[in-house]
Amino acid sequence: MSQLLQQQQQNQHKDIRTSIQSWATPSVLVITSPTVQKQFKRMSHSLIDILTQYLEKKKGNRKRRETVSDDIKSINISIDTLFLLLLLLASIKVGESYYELNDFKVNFITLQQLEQTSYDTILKDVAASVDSLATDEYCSNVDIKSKQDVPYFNKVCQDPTPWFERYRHQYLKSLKCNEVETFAHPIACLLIASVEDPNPIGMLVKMFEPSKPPSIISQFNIDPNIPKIHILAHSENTESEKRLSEMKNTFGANNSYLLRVNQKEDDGGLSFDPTANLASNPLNTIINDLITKHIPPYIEKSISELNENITANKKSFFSKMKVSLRIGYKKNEKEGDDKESSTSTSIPVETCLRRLSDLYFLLQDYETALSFYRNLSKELNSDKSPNHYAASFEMIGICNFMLNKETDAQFETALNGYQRGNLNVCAVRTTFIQGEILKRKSNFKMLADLYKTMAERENLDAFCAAILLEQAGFCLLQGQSPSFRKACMRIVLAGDKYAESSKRKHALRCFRFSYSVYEGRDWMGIDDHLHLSLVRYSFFQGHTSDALRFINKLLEKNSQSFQSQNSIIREFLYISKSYTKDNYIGELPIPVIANDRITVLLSDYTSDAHQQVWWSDMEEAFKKEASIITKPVLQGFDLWKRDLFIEVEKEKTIVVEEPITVDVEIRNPLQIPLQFNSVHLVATYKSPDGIEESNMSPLDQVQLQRMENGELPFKVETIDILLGPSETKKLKFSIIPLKQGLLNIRGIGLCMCGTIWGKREFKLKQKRLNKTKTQRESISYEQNLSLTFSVTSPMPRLEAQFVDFPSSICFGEMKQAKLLLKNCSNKMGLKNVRIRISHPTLVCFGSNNQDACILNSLNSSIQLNSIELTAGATVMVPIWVRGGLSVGKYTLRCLVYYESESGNTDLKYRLARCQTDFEVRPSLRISTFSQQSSTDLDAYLLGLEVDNPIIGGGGDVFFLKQISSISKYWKIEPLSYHTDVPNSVILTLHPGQFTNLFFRITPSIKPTAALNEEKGGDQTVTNISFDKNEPMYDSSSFPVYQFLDYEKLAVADQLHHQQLQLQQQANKPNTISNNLGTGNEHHNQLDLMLFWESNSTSKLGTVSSSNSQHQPTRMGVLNSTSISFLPVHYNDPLLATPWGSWKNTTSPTGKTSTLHIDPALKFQAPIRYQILTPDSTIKHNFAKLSICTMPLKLQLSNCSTHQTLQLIVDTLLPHENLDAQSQSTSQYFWTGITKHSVQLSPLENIELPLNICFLQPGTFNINRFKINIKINNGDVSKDIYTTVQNLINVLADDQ
Amino acid sequence: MKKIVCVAVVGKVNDPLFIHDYSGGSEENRLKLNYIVHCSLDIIEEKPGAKKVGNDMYLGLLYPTEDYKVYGYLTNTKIKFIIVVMDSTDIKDNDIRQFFKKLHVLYVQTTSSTFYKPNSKIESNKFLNNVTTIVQTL
Repeated sequence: MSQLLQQQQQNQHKDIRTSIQSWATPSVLVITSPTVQKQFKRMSHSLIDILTQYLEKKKGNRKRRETVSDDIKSINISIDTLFLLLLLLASIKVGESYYELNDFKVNFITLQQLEQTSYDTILKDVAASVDSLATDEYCSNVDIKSKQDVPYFNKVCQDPTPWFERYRHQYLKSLKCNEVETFAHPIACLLIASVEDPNPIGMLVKMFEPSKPPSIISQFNIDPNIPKIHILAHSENTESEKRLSEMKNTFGANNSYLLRVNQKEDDGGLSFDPTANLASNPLNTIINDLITKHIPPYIEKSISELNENITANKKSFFSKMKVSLRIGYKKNEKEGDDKESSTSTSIPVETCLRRLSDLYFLLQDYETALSFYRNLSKELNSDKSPNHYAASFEMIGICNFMLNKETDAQFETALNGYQRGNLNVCAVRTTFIQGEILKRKSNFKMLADLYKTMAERENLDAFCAAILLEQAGFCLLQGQSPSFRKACMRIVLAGDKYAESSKRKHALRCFRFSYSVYEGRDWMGIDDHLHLSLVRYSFFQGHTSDALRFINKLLEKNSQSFQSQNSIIREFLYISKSYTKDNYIGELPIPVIANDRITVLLSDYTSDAHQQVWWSDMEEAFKKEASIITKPVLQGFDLWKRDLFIEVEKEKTIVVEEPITVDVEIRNPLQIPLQFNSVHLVATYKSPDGIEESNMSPLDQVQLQRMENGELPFKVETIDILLGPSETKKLKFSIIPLKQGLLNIRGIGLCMCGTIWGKREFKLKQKRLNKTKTQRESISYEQNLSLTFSVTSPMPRLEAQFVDFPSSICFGEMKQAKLLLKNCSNKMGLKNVRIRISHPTLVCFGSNNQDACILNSLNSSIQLNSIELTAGATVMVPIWVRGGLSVGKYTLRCLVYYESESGNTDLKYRLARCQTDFEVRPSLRISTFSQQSSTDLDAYLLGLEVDNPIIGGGGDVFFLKQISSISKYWKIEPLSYHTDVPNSVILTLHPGQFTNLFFRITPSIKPTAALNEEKGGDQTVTNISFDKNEPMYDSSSFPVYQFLDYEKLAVADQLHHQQLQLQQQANKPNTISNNLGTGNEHHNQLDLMLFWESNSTSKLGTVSSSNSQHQPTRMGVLNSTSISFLPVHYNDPLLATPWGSWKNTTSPTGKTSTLHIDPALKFQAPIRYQILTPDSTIKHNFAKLSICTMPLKLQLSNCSTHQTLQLIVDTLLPHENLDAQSQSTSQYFWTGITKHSVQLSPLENIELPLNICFLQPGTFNINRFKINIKINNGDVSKDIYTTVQNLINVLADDQ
Repeated sequence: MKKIVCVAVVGKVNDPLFIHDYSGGSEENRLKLNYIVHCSLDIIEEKPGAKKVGNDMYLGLLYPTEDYKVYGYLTNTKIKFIIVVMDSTDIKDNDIRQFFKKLHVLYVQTTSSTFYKPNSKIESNKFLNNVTTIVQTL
């Protein structure tokens, strides 16, 4: 029921008629003696309170009362402390007309209320009465961004401003403008005195003497002859009855009442009790009597009096008009009527008219009232008394409205009049009423203008103006063509006005609503204004995050002037300081952080992406080695499911008490310098038990002290900075975790301008997840873990550093250096040190054969077995560096792996990095070529071309010192000399020079098939020193031999890669020569080392031998690995020219060039052959025997250890041309068996007998045969023509 | 007394390309002019539907406020030119029409620049100077 009641009350405000009626309600004055006041005060309840209580309870039983009592139709009480309202039935007879008012209401007012201090107070109270209705937004989730949104908004949000009607109602009800109207004039008076007053009766008389009424009564020309009801308040006083009879004697029986006040009870026993008998309730009786017995006669009386007054005046009106424009007087009549009025100033006719019409209006006789108001308006002059004039027109309008007639013109006149008379309060009232009328006509355009014009009047109450502007705004949204921009402007202005009247909630709502229209449209001036307001009021309303959002927007454009930015910042600091707890604001708007440039520096990880590429391979390899992660190898169909195998990125593991360094770039976006104090990292820490801690609070002295004491799980360093206008600074922050757990660096905390603490969080870029269907459909991001660390128990920390590493090294040069390993931990030792190097062939660890740590394959790491570092220990690892890379600049990266002595489950191992830059400079170049010896089937020729490629001076001079060959089966011996180098010049290479050296390769042991199978045979090392006086280098020892091995590994690796590439490029089979060759699996190989020395370390100037003595001698080794010297054959007779293979093997560039020979014509086969002639000179007597026949032997040898060769030796017929150019047929021919077919098993030698016939003397080249070779049962079949001359001199012996 | 207090160029999507206050008034006044220009867009949006005669891009008086009169001009590419004129001054409609034509020419010249990004703010000083010149001639 109470809900229903409330609803009715709410709806009551919406009806403007109710509002008008509640405004035009007669009042009853209540005057109490001071004792009574005191009495009520003592009881902790004032009289008003008690009456309120009394009536409140009465209200609750309203329905019941209606059934109980017929004469009280309804009791409707406003809980307002100002007015006590009663709705009663009143029957009033005026002349012939008889009014029965169902809704007769009375306001009880005190003298103070009648006096009505100022309009401002009233307006303030009225405004306060709607405070509870203020909302945060007009309609949740509906913004107007464009014209299209307007209809939807209107549909969804029917009543965006529920407070407006309530305000209007309160406004109309509360505003009593006694200057121009008489509605507030009391029509009765309650006088209350107490028995305890010394002379209660006298007091009652004094309270309202008709001859000497309270000043307010005379001030407003209120009729002092209103009915008075005298009440004596008593508390169980026996004298009361006596007093009552005295009162009755003095004031008349009808005007005197007793009111029993029980002082023991809080409410004086006066609270309304519906169950009690109505008649026994003294208040009820009094009020009933008041309404039914006292007021109606008074109204009747005063109406008739006023009528008489006016008619009397009218007689003299026209004559008086001529005399003066002033309002006429009617002294005579007044004097005649009663003596009191004669003492007061005489009442002008307009006042009478007004009072009369107001009385009719009170009686709800609008027709009569209207006619009297019309008369009144004629009496009044719009210039002399604009307010009265306006008020009369207002009333005409209202009467017309009440009678449902046209009204507009009257209200306009009224508004103009009020404007002239500066009576804004009434003008607003008129506006409200006219507005309602316009609204009913749906004339929104005019309505908006009306409200707006009114709101823009000077000196108007700000809240009132705000309400009007807001309404004007919403009116503009209505209608056929809503002007939403204009509407928003009105609402913004309303917001300003609300702000002016300190209604912050209203103000914020207005700004927020309008913001959607301007948002993101670049209306700079408007944006700034709105943003600033939004910041302010968001703060006031406690929406700190919104405030920050808007201040961000405000500042991000940076469009304001220096001064305004300064004031914005000041205001921001001031507001945030006064509206935040502990001076901590949370997220600050400035400075700007370059989120994409945040870098984390850890000893174990790099964040530099450019560097990371190089390290990650090595790191990954260590991971694999430590078998922490085994990435599945995906093939074929697995690739479809590869998403499932992608390793989830984990947070990095760091070690407790080791600092994390974060590089952050911060920028001041403003044009003013900004100061930030105690800038530090903020982080959240989660302990293994799940307890979270963070330092997102001011880092004040207390907090600093706690941090120093180690009470926090981590420690941060602070920096003070001053950022100039638009300045960017790169700062290095560090944080030291002190406990194990999960540490997440969130951003930076800072104290802005020494005033307000806040933080700026990092916003790291997150990867969009796109793996599963749900991820694809929704927008979800992967967590960025680059600033999340899992803190683990202490681990030793190793630092590695290269010592004496040459910054520049010649190609092949060998130098000693050191790697310094230092255990930085002073608590625990470390073990199991392993090393990976970006260029593994460059460095050999160890100083001699004993302590060498050798790499077995390029992909493995080097384990430094002997090294275990105790706490704080330092060790130097000797290393050999050899310039084994092609010329250029390099960065050597070294990754050191180590494990804690005590072990750590979270972090099995740690890695230390060190790197150094070096340059490889050119030294000598070496190229080799080889060929089968033409004199010995087992021997080969090795040519060596050494080349100092620096041309144009400035290069070093190199001295060749020693050559060593390493091979299983072969050794070398100098070919060009026997014991000593004949001329040492050939061994000194100045820049641009080159030299050729020749060696014979002879078998050191006869290879056998059995030996071949036995892989691990000893290597034969041949050292040939070019200077007998100097000690020789041991080419089979560390590190020379190891570097050779490394180089072989590198070459093999490179070959492997090339082959892979080739296979990828084309699926076609390899070239024939590759097929033909026996591959790399043959034993005709040797490795060559050329030792050189150089005295000069400077590139400048020529080298003089005297100087060079003082400089350290540098030495180097040039390796030429896997020189293969298989026999080369030609399968085209055209190429079978002498020394064909020699032709272009040497060149100043040092490269053997065989480009002009089609590689398809050249092939390697493991066969060697040789013509054995008994004698190179034959004497034959051709005269005696015309044919000279000679037996020859063709020696054939299979060099292969595993291949069987099938050979067909065929001699050529004389007419068969061997050489197209010579055109000559042969002068000799073969006899006997001219074709042999043989099979050669591995390493087999055979001699075939051949016979040759000469017909004349001369010199003959025995090359006219070809060998057809079939390898592996005819897989490959080739014809071989000899390229070697076998000359036979046939002399004629005539004797 | 200056006649024109504000000149604005508003882009296709009702974003301001150029707005300059010639009133020399306070910050508050400038804000008010901003709002007036913004509000006039409401009226421009309604206008072409009702009245679009031939090639005339001049929209005439958009609305009078108590202190100002607002005139508008809408190009075929939906660029709006808006000027706010003191209400007290008496300017012939034809003069305003001429002014808009000149302004249009200036706009075209400026936006034809290779370095001007279409639909972005006009930051050309030359444009500002030229507009100031024609504002003073009116």
